[in-house]
Amino acid sequence: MIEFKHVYKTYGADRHTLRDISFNINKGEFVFLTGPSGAGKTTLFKLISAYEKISSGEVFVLGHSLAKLKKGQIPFLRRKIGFVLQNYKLLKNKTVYENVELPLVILDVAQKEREQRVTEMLRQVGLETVKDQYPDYLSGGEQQRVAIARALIHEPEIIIADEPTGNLDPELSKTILNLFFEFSKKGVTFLVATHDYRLIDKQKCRLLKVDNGQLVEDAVV
Amino acid sequence: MKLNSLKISLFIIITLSITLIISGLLVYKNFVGFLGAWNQSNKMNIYLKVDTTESERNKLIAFIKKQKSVSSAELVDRNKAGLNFQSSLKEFSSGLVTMDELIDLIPESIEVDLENSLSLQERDQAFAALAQSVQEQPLVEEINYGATWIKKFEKIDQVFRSAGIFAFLVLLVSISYLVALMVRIYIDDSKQEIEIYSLIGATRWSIYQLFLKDVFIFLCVSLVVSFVVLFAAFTYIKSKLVTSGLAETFIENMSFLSFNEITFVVFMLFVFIYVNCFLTIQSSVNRLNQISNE
Repeated sequence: MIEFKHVYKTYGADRHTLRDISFNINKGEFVFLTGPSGAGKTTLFKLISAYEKISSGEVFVLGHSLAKLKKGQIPFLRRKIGFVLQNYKLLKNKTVYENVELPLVILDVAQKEREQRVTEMLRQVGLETVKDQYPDYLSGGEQQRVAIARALIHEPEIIIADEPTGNLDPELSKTILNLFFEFSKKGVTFLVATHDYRLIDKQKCRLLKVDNGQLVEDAVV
Repeated sequence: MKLNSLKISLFIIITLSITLIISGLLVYKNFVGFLGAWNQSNKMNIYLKVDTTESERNKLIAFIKKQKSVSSAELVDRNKAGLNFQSSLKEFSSGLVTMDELIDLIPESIEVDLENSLSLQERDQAFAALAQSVQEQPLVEEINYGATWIKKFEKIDQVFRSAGIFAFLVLLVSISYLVALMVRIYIDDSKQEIEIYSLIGATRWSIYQLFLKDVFIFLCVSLVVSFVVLFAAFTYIKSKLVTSGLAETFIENMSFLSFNEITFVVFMLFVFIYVNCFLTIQSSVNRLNQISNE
């Protein structure tokens, strides 16, 4: 599903952000990515989502070699990935419903089907009562759930979550993570970057640890 | 389309810019038309020698009428010329010279007019060619068509036309850049929107379309608003000038832009503003198409 082979990413002549990274994530796996700030977690995500190009090595995402991927194919790859980011990235001038509906609009899904899927997704994340509200009027936890609903609505094969619980209290973090595990059971592959070791400790799952641009640990904890 | 203050500002700037360009063209067109009105009223006078017979005169008139671009050729006999002279001097001539004395002084002439569609230069060339072919005729004494004045007007006309075209192009380029700058500010303000659309897999073209659609709507509405407002203002000003009774020749020749001129203006505005906006949208979207930490 996601495969890194001796990947290097450098900015400029000698600033190495990633050094010789190799790992393989299979379909349906739930993987935590951890490491200190500036270790290279976000760069890794940017490589997977084709926002950045690798300097050397090979990255395969859903069978595509990112080095060989043409510019015009990138959006179509991103449609198979759902993104949940720490700062939510919601459109402030659209309602909760419209935000969640957006990926289906891009995919040109029929209006009636969109309505059914959005309503069901909002029910699953517990936001059906606030569907007509604008993101600015929601709490941090609610906004993050909108972002999760938007990431999952088009049934992506991979979910990339960068510090999804960074702005949330422990109770809400647990709720969000449980939501992730529910979808993981349905076969969605999760790659979740977090600093929050309390979350990892409570779960039995795979952990990738990066430090100073290198993969220092790949284990099931 | 949801409006915000930036979108409203963009619409106002596009509308005002288009109004400025069209009103400039309208003023230019009517000013050049004013020069043309004098040109159209200018006629050639072919003064005849004394004691010409009627058949000789008719023969010459028939010859003149056959010449290229001639619309009319009429004999002005001494009586008519005298009356014209008297009426042009009006009250200043009363008692100065008697009608009999005037008739003795003024020679008979043929008044020649050309087709109205001719430009100043074409009219000058047609008059010169006619003068050349007629002056060899034995009954012609003298030919006058204000050649010196036509040359002066030709120069003024050329200067105004060149200055008009230059001003139009400068205005068009500066306005399209101003609109493009506003579009850039508008896109920069939508930075997060671009980021989100890119994140969920929207193609670059579909992101461009989000903004191109807005600019297209603004441009169309602005064009309609500008033309309607200017047409109303033009009609009002013309009616005011008519009632004031000033400069009748000028008012008669005052006209709004023709269908062809409107088509040309709309085409030029679309090409300059829309292409410039498209390039701005393309470069801005490409610049902002990434994940930020904001």
